[in-house]
Amino acid sequence: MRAVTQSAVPRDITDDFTTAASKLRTGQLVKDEYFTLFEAVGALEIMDSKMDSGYLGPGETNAQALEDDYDLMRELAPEEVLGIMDELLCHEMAWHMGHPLSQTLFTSLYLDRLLWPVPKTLEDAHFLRGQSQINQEVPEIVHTVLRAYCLALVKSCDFVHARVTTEYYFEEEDFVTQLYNRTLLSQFDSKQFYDLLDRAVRWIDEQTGIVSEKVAKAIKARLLFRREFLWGLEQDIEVIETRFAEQFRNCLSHLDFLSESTVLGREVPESFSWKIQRKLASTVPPRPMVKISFEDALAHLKRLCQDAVDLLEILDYRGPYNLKVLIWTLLSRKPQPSVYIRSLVQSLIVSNRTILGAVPAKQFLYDELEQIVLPSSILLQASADEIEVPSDPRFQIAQHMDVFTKRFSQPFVDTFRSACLNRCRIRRTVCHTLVDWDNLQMEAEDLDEQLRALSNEPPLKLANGDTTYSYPLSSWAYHHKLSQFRLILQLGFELSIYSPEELPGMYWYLSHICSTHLGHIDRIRTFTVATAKRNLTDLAAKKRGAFERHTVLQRSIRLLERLTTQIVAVDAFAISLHALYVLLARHCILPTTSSAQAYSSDRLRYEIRMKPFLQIALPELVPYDEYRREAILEGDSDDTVLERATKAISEARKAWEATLANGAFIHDSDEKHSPALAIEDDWKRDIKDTMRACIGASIAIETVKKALRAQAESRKREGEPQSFQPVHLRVAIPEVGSKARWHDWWVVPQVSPATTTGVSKT
Amino acid sequence: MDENKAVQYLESLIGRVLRVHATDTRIFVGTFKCTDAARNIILANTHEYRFPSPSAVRDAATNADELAAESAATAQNITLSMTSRFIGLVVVPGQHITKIELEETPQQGRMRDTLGS
Amino acid sequence: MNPNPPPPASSSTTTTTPPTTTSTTTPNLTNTPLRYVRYDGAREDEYVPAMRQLISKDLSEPYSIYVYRYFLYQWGELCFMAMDDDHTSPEEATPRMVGVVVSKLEPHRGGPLRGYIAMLAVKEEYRGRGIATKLARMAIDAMIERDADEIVLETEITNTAAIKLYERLGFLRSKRLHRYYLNGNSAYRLVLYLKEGVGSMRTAGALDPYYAAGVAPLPSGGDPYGVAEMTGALAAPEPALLHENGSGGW
Repeated sequence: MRAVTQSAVPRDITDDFTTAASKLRTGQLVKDEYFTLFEAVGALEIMDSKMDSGYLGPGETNAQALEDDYDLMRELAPEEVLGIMDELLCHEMAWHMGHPLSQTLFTSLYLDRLLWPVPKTLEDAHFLRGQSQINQEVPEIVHTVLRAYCLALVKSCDFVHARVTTEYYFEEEDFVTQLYNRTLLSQFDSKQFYDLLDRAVRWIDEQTGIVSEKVAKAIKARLLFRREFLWGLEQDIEVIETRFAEQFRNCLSHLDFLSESTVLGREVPESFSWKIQRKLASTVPPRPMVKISFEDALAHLKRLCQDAVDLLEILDYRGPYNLKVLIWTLLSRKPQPSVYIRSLVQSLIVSNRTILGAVPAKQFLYDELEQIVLPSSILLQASADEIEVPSDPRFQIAQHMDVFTKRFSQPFVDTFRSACLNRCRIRRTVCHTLVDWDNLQMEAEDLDEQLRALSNEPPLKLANGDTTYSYPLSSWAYHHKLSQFRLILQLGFELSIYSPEELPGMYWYLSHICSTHLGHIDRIRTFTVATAKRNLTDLAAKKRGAFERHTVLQRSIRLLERLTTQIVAVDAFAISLHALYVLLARHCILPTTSSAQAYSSDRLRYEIRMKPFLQIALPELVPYDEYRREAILEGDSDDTVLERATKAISEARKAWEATLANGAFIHDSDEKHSPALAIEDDWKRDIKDTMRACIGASIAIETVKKALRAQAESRKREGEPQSFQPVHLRVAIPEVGSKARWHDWWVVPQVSPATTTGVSKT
Repeated sequence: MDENKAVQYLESLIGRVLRVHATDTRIFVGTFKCTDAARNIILANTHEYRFPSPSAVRDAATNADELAAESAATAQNITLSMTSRFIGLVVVPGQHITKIELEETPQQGRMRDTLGS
Repeated sequence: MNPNPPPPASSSTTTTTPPTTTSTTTPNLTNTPLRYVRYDGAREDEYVPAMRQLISKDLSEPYSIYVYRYFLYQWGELCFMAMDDDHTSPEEATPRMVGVVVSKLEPHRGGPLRGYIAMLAVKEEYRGRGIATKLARMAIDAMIERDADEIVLETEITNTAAIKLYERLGFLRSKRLHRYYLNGNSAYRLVLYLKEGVGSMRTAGALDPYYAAGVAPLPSGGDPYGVAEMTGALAAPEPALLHENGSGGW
């Protein structure tokens, strides 16, 4: 609302203005010197139907501009109430999916009346407000049932809005927070809403014989669902304390009935209008009402409720490794969990510097360090000893470790939180944080050197006689950085960033990163094993703490083994696909997107691909010429390449089987069963999909092998071993989401024999 | 008015609040930022004012409605409130403009009269 | 006074569809020789309305006259049009505009000289004749002449014809932009490097600590068209780090 100053007086300047403007030349602008053409781009053009949300179509009168003829006081059949409730649910879910309120819920004339003007009390929010006919009455079913449902629905949205806006999300990409100067009844206590719903339920119960039993039951189910949903959303992060998700389970139990009873409803399309956008304070162009089917809405709702139930499984803290698997698995579900769930998980992961409401961030970081690089190290114990003598090395160690904690806690926790972004943003964010981790690694290296002196770390003798030290903190940072490299590449496959002709090179690069990572883990392991050996002497001597140290060291060694198996699995699969793609490219059957007349060269395209890594000190960038040689397997014969593909895929299949056998989580020895069954199922499915992709790759390799053999034979037959003989194969790259794409991260080509006309025989 | 004078005049309006009336009777009130030979006017922080619908007029009569902003804009013509909303940065194309008004404080008005431009 | 925050700077500039399929509706047009011309500011009154008509047909995103001016007043020499002299537009008796490309070229965050193809459209009955490719090439050539380091653009991920066109010219997808357009569709950012070492050129985002702090001004009044995204200089930097909810800091 614009407060017009009383003193403003308008003066008609139409003629002066018009005369002056007419003197301007074509293309000449008179403008505020600080107002740029760039800003002008954002101006909405009035009287343009695509841009002016207040524009009236031909034949529309001003009277019809804001109002629809719809009478909110009209009697509604129970079937119509049912129809409106279900339509509202569709709009609610469309909003959850990222569409603005102006195109979804706010198109409801019923909601509009309740929410505008902003009600001062909840009693104030009724359908009669602002009406001149004082003695007019709202039909009971509208007042008691529809109003309760509408208000509780808005309150549900309020909880969702509040959660999302406190977390990291991307406006318009994930969610539109715009409320157009209205509120979602956030000022009112939730108890009132439950009371309204309860009253509505009682009223429906009293309508026996008046309202058809079926319809009454359907309406009641929606009211009860709404009550549970509201309650579940209200609980929000309190779930950390309550460990209770019955509300969402109850919601789920209603959904089937909601689905089958929706046919009983009758739509009231007149009670929704996109024209409401003409009343909303809005700086965006008008957009059509978003229509999603009830089926889609329920599917979204079902996923939301199921995710809300399953996220209980992440709440029991069992170390950073397990937490990472839980979070990434839950949030990699397809379709990706809704923005509400993603925001909620962000809050659960960390609030008030506490992980899962239980573990201080420092402890969380220490647990991770203990698992990966510092089992049983004085570096982690020093601060627990509470030494206050500054000359004591332990005091100084504690101080250095505090510096480390301050620097690394947040970036470390962010590697968990970033899983909650949308998939495109995960990749973009990791591309950026990679640079930070590179810097962090360098800082950690300095700390490592200082800590080494303070802790009297014994050097390790290498085979060549050189000595080296463990550099635990920077080693750990490097380990994370390499994981991020891998993630960027794999998300690149998932998001269809790479063109077909890049696939040989990208899979080579993935395997290159994996082998670098494997080498690095080997290095870490060497030091851990050395420590464990030293501890054996203590163990034999039954020294104090030796047994505990032994346990921790063994646990760490097992984790390093587990990581090795996983990375070997990725590495071998990547090597195999690389070799396969090399063959397809060599025989010119790999589809290409770039043409001979392209502006760029392979070298320039490689530079674009390496953009996220150009600034990174370690691992070093592979120079283009080396990359090219590796990517095309220069100098290797087809037979050699084929063998490479075949060997690697069989190794990959073994390694993926071993990964599956290792299970999703690290178990404490006393745990009998998995405490996270639902998420573990997702994890297993993901591994099994990868194994399917491996099988698909094996088949593709066999097909290529046969075709190459046939080609060689036909050359022999014709007695011209050097003659050009095309390989009769057809290659298709399956799109993400298609059936033939077994796994988003593994682009396995579909290779099939082709007839000479190029038509597949399948 | 030559080109220089014209530019000078238009520049004197930059940053002032204009009320631009459109062919569909809506009024756009915002800060004047830019124009051209065709009178395509860019206004910033614009509010759209629309004449109330007949039923709103009826309701307003019985129910003093805090909804609509008291608009002095049309004080001479109507005493009724117009519905308004914020729409931000807009360009009103010249061919849709019926009238352009400049908002002045009474002091500004008097000053101008005294100077007798 | 502003009851609403300005809309977020995201969303879109669309590169319109130049499908590769030949339209058969008006086969008599497919052989007409076309004249390719560079934009001329003196003929704004003739060209811009024709351009708007041509582009608005294909575009889901609406553009005001000032969107065109933003590009044409600053980079008119990077705008090219395909004209059919044999078919004059009925109202004006001027040659019919059947294709247009609109671009810009400026340093990206103080780093590489970045070209940007903002709009590319070809009249439906003229598609399938390589007009879009020809126009894109003219724009790219003009940028190369002006020493561009790289060229970028966005295109809807469903617009396979446009993606193919640019990929044939050597563009690569560099990232995917989730729900980039007003209609909720996602986009690919397509990139073409024209010189070696472009990827390593420092930009303000990496160099200037104040940049990350969000000091870079966003246009007031918002930017529903996402030009912020394309100029880069004004685009909000991507977060280097996420932050804890509430008052952050560790």
